[in-house]
Amino acid sequence: MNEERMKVLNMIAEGKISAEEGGKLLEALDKKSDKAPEAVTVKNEKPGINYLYVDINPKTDANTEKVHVKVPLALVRAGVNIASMLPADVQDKVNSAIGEKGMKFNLSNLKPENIEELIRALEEMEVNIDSDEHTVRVYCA
Amino acid sequence: MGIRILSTNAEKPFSLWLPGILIWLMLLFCMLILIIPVFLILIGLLIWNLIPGQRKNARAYTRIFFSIPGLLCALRGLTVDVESPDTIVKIYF
Repeated sequence: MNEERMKVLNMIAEGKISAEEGGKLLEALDKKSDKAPEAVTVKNEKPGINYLYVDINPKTDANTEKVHVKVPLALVRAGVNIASMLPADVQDKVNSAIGEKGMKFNLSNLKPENIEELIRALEEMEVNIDSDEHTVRVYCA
Repeated sequence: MGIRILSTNAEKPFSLWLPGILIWLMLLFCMLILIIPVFLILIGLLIWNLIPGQRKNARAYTRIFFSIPGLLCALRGLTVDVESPDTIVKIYF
């Protein structure tokens, strides 16, 4: 793109085109460069994740539990939406109740517009626990 | 959609199988029973919204009330599958 701009500037310097024409050409190049990154981001978008999986599998076959849980992320979205609708005084009560359990969490920071960002971040999350008896895997897909 | 709970313990045999159609029928039945309380809640919310100075709280609870069906719809796809030595629990929404 810079090469094209340089060519236009050279053409103006050499007098092949007027400054006005050159300006128009540069504007057209700017518009083209503005559109290009959009196309790239669309191409880079990955298909969205829909479920949170929790798999607990025993290492030995006998007398152990197997657990497979699939939680739709739509449920997380709905939960966050409801949490954000709570009146401020109720949110304060919830925050203090969560605080009593040793977690510092402010419910008012949980906004529906942030949930997509949170879910996108979950895409990268994977928890693998390998104990003597079980393997635990938490992931989103 | 369905719920299956099965005990594999020979001394305490137990089996529960709720197919999706039965759960839907139960939900329909619950809706029929709850239609009057829901109607009363709606009237209550409407009156609360009309009280001066109460609009902020009333609107918040009204929105929460109307988002309950969405929460139930969001349960679609929830799967719990637990297999222990003497019990099998399978829940599919």
